[in-house]
Amino acid sequence: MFESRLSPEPAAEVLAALAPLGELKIERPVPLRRTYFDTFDWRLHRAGRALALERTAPGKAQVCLRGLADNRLLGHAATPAAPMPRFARELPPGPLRRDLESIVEMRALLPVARVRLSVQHAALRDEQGKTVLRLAVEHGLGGTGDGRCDRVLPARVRLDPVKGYRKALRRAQAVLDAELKLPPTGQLLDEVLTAIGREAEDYAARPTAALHPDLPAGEAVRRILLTLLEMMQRNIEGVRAATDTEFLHDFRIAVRRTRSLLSQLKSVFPPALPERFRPDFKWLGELTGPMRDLDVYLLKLPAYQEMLPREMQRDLQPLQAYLEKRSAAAQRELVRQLRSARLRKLIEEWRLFLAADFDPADWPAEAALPADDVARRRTWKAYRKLLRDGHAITPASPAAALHKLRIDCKKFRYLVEFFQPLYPPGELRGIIKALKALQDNLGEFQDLEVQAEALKRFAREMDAEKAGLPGETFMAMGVLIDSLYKRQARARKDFAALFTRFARPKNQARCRALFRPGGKKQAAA
Amino acid sequence: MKILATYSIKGGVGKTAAAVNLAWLAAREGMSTLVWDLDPQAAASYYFRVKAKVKGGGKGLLRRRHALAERVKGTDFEQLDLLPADFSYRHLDLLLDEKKKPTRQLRKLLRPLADEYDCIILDCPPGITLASEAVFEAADALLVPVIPTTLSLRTLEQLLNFSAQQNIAGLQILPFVSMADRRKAMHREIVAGLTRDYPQMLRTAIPYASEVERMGITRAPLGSYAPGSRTARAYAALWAELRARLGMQE
Repeated sequence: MFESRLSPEPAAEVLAALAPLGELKIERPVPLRRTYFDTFDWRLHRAGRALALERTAPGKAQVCLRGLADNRLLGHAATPAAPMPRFARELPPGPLRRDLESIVEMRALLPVARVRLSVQHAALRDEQGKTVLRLAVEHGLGGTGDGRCDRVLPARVRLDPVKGYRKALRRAQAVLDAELKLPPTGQLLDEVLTAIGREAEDYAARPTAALHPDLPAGEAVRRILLTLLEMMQRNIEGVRAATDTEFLHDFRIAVRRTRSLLSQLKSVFPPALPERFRPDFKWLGELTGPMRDLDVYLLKLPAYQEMLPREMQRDLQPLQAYLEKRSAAAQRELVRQLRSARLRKLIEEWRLFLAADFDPADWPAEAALPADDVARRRTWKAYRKLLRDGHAITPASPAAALHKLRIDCKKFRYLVEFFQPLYPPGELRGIIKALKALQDNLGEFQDLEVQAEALKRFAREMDAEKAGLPGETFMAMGVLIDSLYKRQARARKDFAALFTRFARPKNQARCRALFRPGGKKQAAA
Repeated sequence: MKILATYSIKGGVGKTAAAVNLAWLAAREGMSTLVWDLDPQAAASYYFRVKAKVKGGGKGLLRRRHALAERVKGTDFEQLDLLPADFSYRHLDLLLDEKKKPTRQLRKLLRPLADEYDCIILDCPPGITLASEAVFEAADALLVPVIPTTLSLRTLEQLLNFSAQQNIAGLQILPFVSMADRRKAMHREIVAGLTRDYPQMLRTAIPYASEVERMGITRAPLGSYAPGSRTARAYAALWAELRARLGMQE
């Protein structure tokens, strides 16, 4: 696809320029109203897709999924004109829904931009009357996803080649270049975003701070914490509105990482500062916990159903209803707490502290050391503790030993990821992959038990309610609990192999080279 | 991917009309479809308004593994592509004969297209030659138009005998009545006999109609400009029957 940009009243200009190339079959201009959708974290844009709701006639619309690079239609489905379903799973069943669900999963589809265009289609034909090139001239207005279309978009020509007729495409390109001097344009979606002052992919679930090895450690830590604070603030609105479950999830990740950094690099901070803020972040973690737990159980319900015999799958419906009721109550409570003075004060004071430039006078001596030294020393220490604790685990070790190892893993992982920009790109990939597999295993081992216990608790609570606990549901939950414990036992068996893989000599050598203080400084280059 | 071939030993029986109209129906149902016009007379290419010329000719196609895909032309219809005819195809037998295992050549050429197309229709020239044998090896099914006349029937017999001798694995032979004229008593008699004598025969008959002849003027598949016509409906019924017979999904 070749695209160009034009002045207003463009269609006539383009068609006149192309007329000498052959017979032009010109269609009547058609209006096009399109709203682009993506998730908060731009999952579709990252996957090279553009999702749009297009109004085709009054009261009628279709959802179209296109390739970002070539505008190729990858799938479509007819829907009522409004509103767009918030989740992919609410679309009519079919290949489009399948594709979308695999990309966006549980995230809500949010309007990011709108266009109102006039589109003039035409076809260039050869002397046999065969179409050798299709083209469209588009011009009109753009706007934000939920606002009015009030920005004039540059007019564009889209040349849509027909397979096997490259020459016609080249000729048309040459004519348009020579006569209309058209600079190439990008994707319509990106142009609309520019027009409304937005940038695609402006949110990442794992933001990285701008760091370099010689930065003072205090400054590096300040930058990392600032990106984490921004992550909290960007998600808080979605948490309040319960747009989807992942706003809260990302918010909690940022809180957890902040807490971890405050405690793991305690001696880098100005004296008494970690003690001052840690209780408040701990409170924030606890405050958001109940809602997240309920989110997790609701997200897991389809998987739980799969674990049951087909005949029992429907018996979990009362559980779902119960969880939804609890979830609504938890959300109300969460919103109340998020409005509290304590949170406002915490964020204000935290921002005030982080916004101040790094001044060595206020920070301990360690904060003035190069970030690289501090990062390596801490990471190396966390790594060795993880290896030590892991090697000590035998098939006879109690569950608590594995839970402790899980915490070791988290601490190591956070340190590695905080300071990721300091290491040569790609060097960490193998280690993180093996670590992630180990963490998944340990997480499963612990979570399956927590889930089984939670299900027992839900059963007791449901039983105490007026609605009661139907016998079938009670039995289905029993079967579920049984299979969760069986899976947990399997996870325990898998642990040894995954730990051995993580701790194999090759990975140890890599970690030694990357993290051991006084080792080779590969990153300095 | 299914490979079909419209084929008959006798000429002028409605092979190309079948190829073009069935391909259009397949594409309209969402199958990615390719017609390969193997007949140097280039009627299918003419119907799609594509010049009957292939860069490098038949020789060029046989030389390289991915030559086919590069020479495909998009038709004016969505999902429907054409590999045009070339005058050099009149020597296709000779070109194939120069190769090792000549009858395997077409099958080999088509294999790389399996990812791109759900359905490929080979529009074959009349006759029974080395090129025909190569088609038999490549195709999943031969669609054989039979005019209700004695001569046409004789060629069907010839084909069935030949294929029985060759014993080609996995090739279905699916004859259908073409250019049937209900006003002619002899046509009616023969059609009745055909379905009795040949159980593999498809049930739908394509009527003799001026609409098909008019395709030479409109230069487009019937369904695209006269979808309600009797013949267009007959092709749609034939396609539905064929799809069911070959187990092709919609």
